[in-house]
Amino acid sequence: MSPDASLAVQTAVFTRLAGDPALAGLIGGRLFDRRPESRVFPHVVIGEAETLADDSATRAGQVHILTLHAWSRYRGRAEAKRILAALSAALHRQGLALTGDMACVQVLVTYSATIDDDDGVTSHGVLRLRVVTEALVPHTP
Amino acid sequence: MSGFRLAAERLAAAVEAALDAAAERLVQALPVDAGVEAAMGRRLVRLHDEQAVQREFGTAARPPDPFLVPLLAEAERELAAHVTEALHLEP
Repeated sequence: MSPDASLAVQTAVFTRLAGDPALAGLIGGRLFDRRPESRVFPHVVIGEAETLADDSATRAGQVHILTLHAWSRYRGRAEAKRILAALSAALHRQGLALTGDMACVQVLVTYSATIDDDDGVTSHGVLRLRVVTEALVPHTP
Repeated sequence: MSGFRLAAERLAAAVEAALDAAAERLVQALPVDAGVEAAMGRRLVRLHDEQAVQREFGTAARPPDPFLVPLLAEAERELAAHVTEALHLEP
């Protein structure tokens, strides 16, 4: 069984984004790991996370698929797109420092899109992140 | 070099067959109608359901109910297995 790195990945992503000045210039400190009760826009939510086993012959590994949401009430899609660009710049092909006996192998933005919400006033940016992690200690001596 | 070209052509054909198999499996597993558009080296699976995006990513009023990630992972695994097998047969 692979050591579960999903919390370490979420923590590392949150830390990276919280310390990113370009993103802070767009959303202030409104970065959450669940939908905020106070709906102040724009904001970013680190949303759904799925973890899949990805062991190699020598090391336990995992693939983590994270979905980040950017919510904007700007008139048009520009603000949501700027936020997505800032998220991508902060994460795509940038390593993550993980806690525990795990290492980050790869971070890729695999998908992003801007969607007009049903309410007619909100723009919804989505970004899918693929993070590969592996155990520092190999299976075999 | 002709032997190399022959091997490359066989591998390319194996990749196309693997892509077809993975796309077909994905379409069958999807809970909504979908179609496949094929081009060399890629398959575009298009969902015929306007609500699918809202379900996958949520809306301001409704939380997401993602269904694509596990299905895509399964299709990816199948593709990798086919390609690995092709490489073993054509070293």
